[in-house]
Amino acid sequence: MISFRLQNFMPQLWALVALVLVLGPGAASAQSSLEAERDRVFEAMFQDPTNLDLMLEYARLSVELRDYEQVVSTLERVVDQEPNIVEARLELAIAYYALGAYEIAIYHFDIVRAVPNAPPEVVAEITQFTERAEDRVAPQSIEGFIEAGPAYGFVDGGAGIETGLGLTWRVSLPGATAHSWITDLRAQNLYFPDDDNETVTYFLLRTGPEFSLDGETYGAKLRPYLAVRSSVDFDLEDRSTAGAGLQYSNVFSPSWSGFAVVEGGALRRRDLGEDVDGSFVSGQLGASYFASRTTLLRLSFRGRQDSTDDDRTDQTTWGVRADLRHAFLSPFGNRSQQWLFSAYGLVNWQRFPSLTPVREDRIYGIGASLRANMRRDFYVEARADLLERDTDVVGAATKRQVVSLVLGKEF
Amino acid sequence: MRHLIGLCLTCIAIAAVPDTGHSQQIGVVASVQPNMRGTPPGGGTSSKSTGSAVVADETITTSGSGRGQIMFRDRTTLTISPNSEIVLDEFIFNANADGKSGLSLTRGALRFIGGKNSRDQDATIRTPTAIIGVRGSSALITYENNQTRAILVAGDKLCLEALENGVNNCTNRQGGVMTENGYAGQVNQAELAQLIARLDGPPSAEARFQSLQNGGGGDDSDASGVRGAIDRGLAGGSGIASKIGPRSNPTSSRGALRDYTVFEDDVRDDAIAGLTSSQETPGFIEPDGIDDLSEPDMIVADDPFVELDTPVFDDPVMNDPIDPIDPIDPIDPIDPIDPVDPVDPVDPVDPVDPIDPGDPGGGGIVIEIEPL
Repeated sequence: MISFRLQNFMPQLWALVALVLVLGPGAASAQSSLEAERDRVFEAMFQDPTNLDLMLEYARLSVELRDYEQVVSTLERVVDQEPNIVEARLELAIAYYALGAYEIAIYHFDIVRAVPNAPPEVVAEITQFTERAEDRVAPQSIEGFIEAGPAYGFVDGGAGIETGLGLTWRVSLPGATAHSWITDLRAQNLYFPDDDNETVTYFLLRTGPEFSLDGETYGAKLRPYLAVRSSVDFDLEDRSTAGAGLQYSNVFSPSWSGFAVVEGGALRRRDLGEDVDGSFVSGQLGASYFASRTTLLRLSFRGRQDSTDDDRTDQTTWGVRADLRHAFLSPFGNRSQQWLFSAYGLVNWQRFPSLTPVREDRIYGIGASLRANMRRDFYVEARADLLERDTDVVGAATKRQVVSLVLGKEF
Repeated sequence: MRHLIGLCLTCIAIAAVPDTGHSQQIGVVASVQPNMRGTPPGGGTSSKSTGSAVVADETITTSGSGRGQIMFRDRTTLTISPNSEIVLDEFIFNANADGKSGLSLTRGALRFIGGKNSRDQDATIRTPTAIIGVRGSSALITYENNQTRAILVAGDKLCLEALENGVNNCTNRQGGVMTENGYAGQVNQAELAQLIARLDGPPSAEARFQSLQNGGGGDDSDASGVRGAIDRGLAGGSGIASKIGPRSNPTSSRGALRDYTVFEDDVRDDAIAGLTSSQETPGFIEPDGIDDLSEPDMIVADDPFVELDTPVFDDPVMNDPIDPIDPIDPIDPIDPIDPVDPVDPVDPVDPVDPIDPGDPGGGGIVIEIEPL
């Protein structure tokens, strides 16, 4: 058994939070330097508009700056000047795809795919682009994943299995403004045959429209929704909720976006076989920072209050969580396949006001995962989650350390 | 002699610049296929060639076979189809202040790919029947048969005001089509292909992957797939294939990304850790070392009457006499299931409870586990 005190890793957790706050100005400085370099190249290109080297250099710098509109305009000129270099049109198609101009991307991808000497692996990859582009412009689409794999609980649980299912059904609502109706279904199960206490099943069904508040593609979005959630674990401490919520998100700048959620409704807890009804209210407020197109840092604050009719299981939770996501190219095989590294750290403060004396716990958690995307939308993901409850109640501290390796397929 | 040569070169350079009527140069012709003509304000009409200056208020026309691209100082790019006429009547570039992108399309078709001027304010394109506003965006616009059609290619939004009735309609749908009559749905692929072919000319039948032609000649890349092909065929290209894959989410013209995963993170975390989702019952959080409590042969949850094996009382944690809320501490005065709690009226094993079915007097130790 691994002995692990997560509290000892609190400096690292706070370092992750600090990273979110500190990386912003650093990345801004690097961006400014790139901008100055690109200005210089543009002036040269303005004087010599047919210089292919300058065009590619300008496009390269624009890619680094995530200015895909300038990549498109430059590559349009490259294609015009070098119509026989099909690789230029392929880049143009990808640039349109990056901007979300899927119909035009499909037009250029189709031309490239029809070239007589198109390599089969390139055709296969183009097909992935076009299929996903067609899904994204379709009036409705269903995306999802299914996954399963071995899991292991170090403190408790032992050998087990993790399974998961996710479905997102998106229906585009008619009209000039892009509103849609989104329905999410998520189910996740951790099954430990030798230790029922650790087995847990989580279920979420959430549905509601997503409105564009300001009529801009990258503007504010508001999503009222109804949600049913259920968490069933076999040590007799289940929690189910049915409620309504409101999600708000907005893009403030090329790097920063913000979000907020409030949700409330009815609650049913099953404790040691007896149902207790009540109500809950929860909220979340956070910000996401894209240090680059492939690196996301996020900080969120969250709170939740459960009130039960018998008052015994009332609890209030406040928390802070930091997330890091970084996508990168596969170091093996097909280098066009992206891998994704994710990590999080969280601290929750939990209070049970009905107990005498009032009980107050701290929950620490860190986790990481590495997803390797493979061909045909298959992926392999390794995950590790370490969670620990620290409490003043003698002997009531708990730990949960779970690792898993799942094979999944997106569709 | 050197001064004389320098003077001559200056004269040649001045002569090479077309007469622009002393207007501000706002752009340059980036490509012409095969011809395009320009009429600067107060000047005569002349052929435009690649590299020709374009000035404010200049009128650009193309013949039935001509087309071209203009690159502006604010980095807007305009592609003009055959049989078109545009007037650059509101195109102002000021490096140190807000500029303005405005032009008139009096006939034909154009592709507008925005630059700095249209990032934070609308670029304006007028036709005889409509005024189109393009924000942070790229658009395809036609004016033919007395009708305007504007297609939002990418960006924040596109608005079209019909001059006849002053009604203004907007769309933020990529591929959305606006006309004087309002929103006309998503562009269909056939219409789009026809329009792009008009602007860019038909795709070359000679186009080939350069990386496979005569052994290539570009970058010596070891990457495979699309990225490898581009690296080898286009000397590394722009590098966009390294950044964008089929799973990539769209990016705004300002480089902004939406965090699509923000509302999904709680799902797996709640699934994996009841600890973080506050689902542990207060007062019944399993203390370390007594996990066996929930073994079926020790406590059967669905059965209110279970036999409590004596080994539990040997457990040092369970027998802790000073733990105030130990759930089954035998001497805890507030323990709801304390077997010997003298004041608990429903204590199933209260030695003085006359209705206690598990009264020790009945034989054996039976404890009713009252749900917490």
